[in-house]
Amino acid sequence: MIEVQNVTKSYRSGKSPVVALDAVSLNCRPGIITGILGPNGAGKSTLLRLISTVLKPTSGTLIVSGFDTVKNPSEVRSCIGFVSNSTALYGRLTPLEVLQYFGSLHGVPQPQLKQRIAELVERFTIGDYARRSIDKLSTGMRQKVSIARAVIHNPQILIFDEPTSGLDVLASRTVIEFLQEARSQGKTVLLSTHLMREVERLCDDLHIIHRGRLYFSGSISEFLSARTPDEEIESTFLRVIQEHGDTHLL
Amino acid sequence: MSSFSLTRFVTIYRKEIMELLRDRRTVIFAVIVPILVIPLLMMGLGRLIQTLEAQQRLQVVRVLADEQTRTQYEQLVFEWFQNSPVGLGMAVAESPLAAGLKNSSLGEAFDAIPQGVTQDINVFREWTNTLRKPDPAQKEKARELLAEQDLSDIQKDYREAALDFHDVVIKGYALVDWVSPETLSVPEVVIASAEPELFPYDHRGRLGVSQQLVEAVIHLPSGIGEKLLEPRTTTEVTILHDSTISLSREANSRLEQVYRKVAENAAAQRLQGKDLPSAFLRPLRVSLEGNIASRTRITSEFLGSILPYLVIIFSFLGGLFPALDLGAGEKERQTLETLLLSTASRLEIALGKYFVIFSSSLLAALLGVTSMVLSYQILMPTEIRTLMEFELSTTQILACSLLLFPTAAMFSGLFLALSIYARSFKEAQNTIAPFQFLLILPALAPILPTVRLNATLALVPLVNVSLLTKEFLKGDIRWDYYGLTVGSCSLLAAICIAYCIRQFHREEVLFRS
Repeated sequence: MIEVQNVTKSYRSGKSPVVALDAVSLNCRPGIITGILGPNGAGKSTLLRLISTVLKPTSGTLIVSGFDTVKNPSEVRSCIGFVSNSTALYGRLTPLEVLQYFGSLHGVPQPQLKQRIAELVERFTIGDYARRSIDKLSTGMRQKVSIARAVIHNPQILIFDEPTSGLDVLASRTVIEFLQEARSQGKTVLLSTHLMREVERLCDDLHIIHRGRLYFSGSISEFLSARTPDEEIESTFLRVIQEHGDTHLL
Repeated sequence: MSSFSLTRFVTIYRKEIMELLRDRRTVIFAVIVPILVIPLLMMGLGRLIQTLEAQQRLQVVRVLADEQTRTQYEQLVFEWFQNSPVGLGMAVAESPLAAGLKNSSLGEAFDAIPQGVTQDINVFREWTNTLRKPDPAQKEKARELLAEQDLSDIQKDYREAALDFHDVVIKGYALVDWVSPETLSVPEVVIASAEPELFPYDHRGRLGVSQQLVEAVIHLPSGIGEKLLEPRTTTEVTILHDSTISLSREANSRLEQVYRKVAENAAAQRLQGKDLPSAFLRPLRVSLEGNIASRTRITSEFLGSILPYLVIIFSFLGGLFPALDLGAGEKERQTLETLLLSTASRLEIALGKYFVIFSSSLLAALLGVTSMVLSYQILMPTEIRTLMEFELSTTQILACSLLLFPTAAMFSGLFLALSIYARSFKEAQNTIAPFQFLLILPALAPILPTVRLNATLALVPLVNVSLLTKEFLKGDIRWDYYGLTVGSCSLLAAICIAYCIRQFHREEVLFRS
C-alpha cells in the first residue's frame, strides 16, 4: 500500500523556486495496477522518487507499507522494487553479479539468494547471457536484468517508470506479463507512463498529473466512461487537461 | 534498521573494487603507471643521459688548423703531460724503480703503458690514439684490476690530476680530428669577405664552423712555446666557434681547457726561471675534500627532493580515476540512483566508495615506492649505485610508507567530494585538474633552499609529507613531527570524508543536472 498525503516538492533552479509537485494526494492499493499518466515534465518521476525515498518531500507525508519515507527510508526501500530509465545497471558486471550484489545489499541470506537468482534467471530467460558483461547486452536484455535486479528481494511494492520505453514488442510483452503476474500475486504496482494504450490495457486505477498537480484520480473505468463515443483515449486525456484550464496542449 | 552495516559496507567495497579492476583506465593509472612506466622512464632517461654524456665525452671534434698550429699544439700538450702528475707517475713506472710492481696485479696495468711515452712525442701520439678508442677487453681488465685494489687514497690524491689528464690529453688532444685549411671544401666565392683576417684561414674557418664542416678553428703564432716562457709576454689566441651549435661549444670548452692548463704549466715554468715555486701563483687552494656530508647523505638529499613529489603524484593518479568513476561516472551512467534505491544507507555508500578510492590511491603510491626501490636495485647501473652509496633501512622504508596513508586519505576524500558534486565525468575531470597544479608547490617544497621542516610546517598538509619524507630518507626520523603530520593530514582527511558523506545526503548534489 502506498499513501501519498498532500505532498509538495519544490526545489531551486537558479534563483527561482520550481514546484515539481503541488499538494498531491493519492493511494495505491495492493492487487491492482495503479497508473500515473502525464506528459513529459509533469512531475511523475519526482513523485516516484519521493515514494522510493531518493528524494524528500518539501511538505506532506508518504507512507509505504506502513513506513514513513522520511523517517524509515531503509525500511521503505526494503519493500519496494523500482525500475526506471535512471536506474541503469553496472556495465562492467554480468547479470549474475548484479543480482548477487543487490541481493546482498538487500540482506537476502545466501542460500535463499542463490535460489532466488536461479528463479529470476529462469523467469526472465536470461540464462544465455547471465555471464556476459552488461555492456554487451541489448536494451531488451538489460531491461529484463533490470527488472530481475529490482525484484531480487521479492518486494511487495513495484514501481515501474516507463518500463517499456525503447523496447521492442517481445521485450515489452515480457514486462507487461510480469506486471500482470505481480498484480495477480497481490502486489502493489505503480506504473508511470505516457502511453495511453498501456494504461488502457494494464491499469486498474489512474492518476493524471500535469504541471505538478493531480488532474484526475479514479478507476480506469471511471476515466473511460468520461470518453465520448468514438473518442480515442489520447483525446480523453487531452480533454481532461483542458477542462482544468490548460489549453497549451491542444 | 541500523544506519551502518559492516556487511553492506564490505559488499559495496568488494563490488566497487571488482568493477574498478575491469576498468582499463584505473588499472593503467593505479597499477601499470607506478609499477612500470615511471620507473622505466626514470631508468630510461637515466640511461639516455648516461649514453648521451658518454657519447659527448667520446665524441671526436673536428678542429681546423694549419700544419704549424697543429704541431705546436701537439707539442704544448705533450709538454704539459710530461710535467703533469700523471705524466710524472708514468715516467716513474717506466723506470727500473717500478720493476718491483710488475709482480703485483696492479703491475699488469703498467704493462699497458708503452715504453718512452713520456720521452718521445711519436710514442705519445700513438698511445693517445689507442686511448681514443679503448679496446673493450682491455677496459674490462682494467676495471677488474681496479676493483681488486683499495684505491680510495690514490683516488683522493690523484683525482684532480686524473681529471686534468682526461681534460687535456683525452678530450683536448686524443679526441680531436685535425682538418687542414687546404682540404676544407668551402666555395671560394663565399670565402671572399671585406673583413680583415685574424689569421690566414680565418674566413675559410668561419664558414667551415657555420656550415658545421668543423667544430672549431685555432691558430697558434709560430714560436708559441718560447713566447709562453717569456716572462713579460702575453700571447692572445682565438678559438673560432659557434656557441649555438652544441658540438662546437664542446670543442671550444675542450680547447679552452687545454690552453688554460698549458698556461698554468707555462706560468709554473716562468716562476721556476725566477727560482720561485709554482705555489707562488697559488697562495690559496680550496680542497676538494671539504664536504663533510657522506655520499649517502648527498644522495638522500637529492632523492628526498624528488621522491616525495613522485609519491604524491602516484597517490594522486591512483585515487583520481577511481574517484571520477565512482562519483561522476556513476551519475553519468545513471547507476547511482540504482544504488541509492537499495537498502544501503548513504553513509555505507559514501564510505564504501571512499575506501575503494583510498585503497587505489594507497596501492598506487606503495607500488610506486616499491617499484622505484626495486628499479633502483635492479635497473640502476652498478657503477651509479656504487657511486651513490645509498641504502634504505627497514625503519626508513616503513616510516616513509606510513606517510602514504594520510596522503591517500586526503586525496580520496577530496576527490570523491568533488567528483560526486560534478554533473558529469568531464566536469569532474575539469574540476579536479587544477588541483594537479596546486599540488606541485607543496610537493616541491623540499627543493626550496630556505624551507626546513618545523612544527608549523608539520601542520601544513602535503608540505609536511614532502619535507618529512626527505628527513626520513636522510635518516633523521623525527617522530614528534611525524605525529603532527599524521594528525593534521588525518584531520583534513576526516573533514573531507565528512564533507563527502554530507554530499551523499544532498539531493541537489546527487540529482544535479
